[in-house]
Amino acid sequence: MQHKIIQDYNEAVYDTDRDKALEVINRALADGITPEQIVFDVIIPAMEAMMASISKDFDANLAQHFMAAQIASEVTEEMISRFQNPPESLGTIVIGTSVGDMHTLGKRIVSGCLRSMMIDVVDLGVNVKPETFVDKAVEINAPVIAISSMMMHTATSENGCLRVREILKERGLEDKIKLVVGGAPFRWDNDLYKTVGADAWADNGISAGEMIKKFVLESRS
Amino acid sequence: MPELHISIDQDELDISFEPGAASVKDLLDQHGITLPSHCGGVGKCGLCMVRIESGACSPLSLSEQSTLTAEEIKQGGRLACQVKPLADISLSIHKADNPTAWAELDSSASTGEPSASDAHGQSNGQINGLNYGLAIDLGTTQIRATLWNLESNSRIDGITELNPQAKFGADVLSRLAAAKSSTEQAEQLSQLARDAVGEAVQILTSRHNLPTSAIKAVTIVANTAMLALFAGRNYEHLLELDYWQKPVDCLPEPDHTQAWAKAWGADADATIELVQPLAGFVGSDLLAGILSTNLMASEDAALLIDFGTNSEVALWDGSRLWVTSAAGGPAFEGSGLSCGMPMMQGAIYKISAGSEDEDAFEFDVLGGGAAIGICGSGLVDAIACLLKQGKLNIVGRLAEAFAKEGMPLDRSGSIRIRNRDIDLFQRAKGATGAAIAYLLEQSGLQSNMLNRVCITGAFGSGLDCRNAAMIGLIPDVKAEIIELHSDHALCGCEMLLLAPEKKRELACMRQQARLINMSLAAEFDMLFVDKLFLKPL
Repeated sequence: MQHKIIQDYNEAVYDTDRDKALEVINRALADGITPEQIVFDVIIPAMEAMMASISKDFDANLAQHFMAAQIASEVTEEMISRFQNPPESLGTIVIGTSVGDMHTLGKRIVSGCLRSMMIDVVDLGVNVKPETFVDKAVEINAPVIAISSMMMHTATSENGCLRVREILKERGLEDKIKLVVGGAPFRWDNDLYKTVGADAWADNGISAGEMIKKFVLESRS
Repeated sequence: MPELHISIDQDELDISFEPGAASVKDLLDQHGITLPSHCGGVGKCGLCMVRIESGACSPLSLSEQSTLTAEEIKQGGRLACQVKPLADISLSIHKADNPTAWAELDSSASTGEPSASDAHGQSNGQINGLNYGLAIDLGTTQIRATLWNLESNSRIDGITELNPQAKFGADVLSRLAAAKSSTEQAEQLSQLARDAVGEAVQILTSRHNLPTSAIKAVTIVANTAMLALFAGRNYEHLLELDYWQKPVDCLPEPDHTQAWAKAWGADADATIELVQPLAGFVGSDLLAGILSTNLMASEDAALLIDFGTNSEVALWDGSRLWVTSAAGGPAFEGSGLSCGMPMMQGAIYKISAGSEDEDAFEFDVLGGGAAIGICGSGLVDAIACLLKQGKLNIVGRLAEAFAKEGMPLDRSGSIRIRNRDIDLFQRAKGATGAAIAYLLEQSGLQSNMLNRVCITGAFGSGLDCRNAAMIGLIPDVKAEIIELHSDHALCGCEMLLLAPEKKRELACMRQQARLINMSLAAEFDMLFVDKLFLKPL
């Protein structure tokens, strides 16, 4: 029974068929599966399976990658609203794109994955100044700043991650806030994250989510 | 020193080298052989694959193990950017992008009638009286040049080659970043483009027994990045958002143009004009296209799409002109694709499903010889055919059976379309599709209100418009309103070369154009995702 739901849902997500995915979930609810079970036993494993297949295939299909995260996030939000007890948020992080970078897709994919993992996201938008990242993280006590850069020159800009690292250093925040980066240039050069002063990078939505979740959990202990 | 023995198709070459120091790609680069690359030489794109026939090399790198298939490794396939030769080795290359090879330009690309030989040039001994000019469309991927007799306003000849700047990256962003990182690289980029013009002057004049000094005028249209790099002006600002919306000065210094004329062997007083762009992201190539299609003379709504690495779109709504560009990557030009190549000899440019065996494809090859790869228009047909056959879904994934090894197009299976290729094509299509949809929305028009759709650029005149509409590359409009042309930008450039009064039209266009910067449009990313799917716009 559960297995069939996972399989049908997976298939729908794989085809980026949002309506069918919702239909599968609604049928499961009607059959007495709880919203909690749907999030933890269907959506999260399905995302993991999808991202595993995507990460094996370099630069895999963007439409699919994006829609998978979008559907997962949408279904999760819907399910959470029906939870018996509102789930405890694991923490809140800030995310945005670096100065000069107007690409929002990577950030949206990661945010979608994080929401389905019970992590809240404050989205600072695009073309975000280094100071804004740090100020907001301090204000809301975020343990992670996530920066998306889709172009080499915005990834390595002195006004991007490099500057955020400097500010963290200047203000003595390096123990409290981890810096995570993502985007196409980091996939071309897997050591680039070190060059720009980040603590970690991830090459797809789910691994970014897992990486960020790990940092969030560490900060709570 | 040990030697590297290289066979490229029919040619052979030996290079001596220091063992273990440089990669095969570096060694080839040093000798002017540029292999395609999309990942900057980190072993991820697989485009620089060579076959090692014999000899000892460094062991397979981790990225080679993940990028190459078991079959490719078994046949001696290695990535040139990763492999270092240790002793004498022999290797073969099949798909080298040879940047110095100029090819014939499809003659339909021009406004005038080509004449096989120019009697004037051969019979007239008065060299001073010769009056010829060159029109050049300097594309990110391809350069096209035509030679004109300025007395008779007749087209003499036309040639094309790949932009040699590609070794700094396939797209404008990587070239601008390279130029910004050092003035030396900026100078190299400028030099590569200037040398290409010099070669065009040399080849076109010598073919018609003309002295290079017969060239009295050179007119160049291009996107803003190409113009800025060529002139060595303001290229460092083009990566900044603030400059995208502003006019960008790409005017060369007068003493520079004199030096260029001298280097090219053109007449010392030759007029060299870089037609100035409209703004940071709308170049003079689009303006030239609007000029040659006479877009603004249309009574009703007319759309112009110039497909390229940097696609540009103009929409005339009957009283207003809207312009924008979309940097979707070089997939339309066949670059960056495992099976891709530019629209040159050996390229599959048209494909249809076989009539008897519905699994087989029938295809047309440019030049009629053996197929080497597939160019943009061929890829459009292939994607449409695969969709019709149910071997590809609208998300852009090949059926399970072809997911790993790709879909073979020819009988030998050496030309294959892979998931990755389709994804790159979708990204390019997504960007242009979003630009078209956004302009229509801004002007309050719908695609069924269009009265003319002019299509030019990377797909040439071989594009199958039904297939293109089916996969959402162009608006789904009636076939009779579509005008296909291989190079509207070059035609507009030719007009500017031949008829100075056209410059007034150009000035008027500059005044009227409303710039739309897609990257500043909040809706862009969602439109882009929607247009990734292989369905009508």
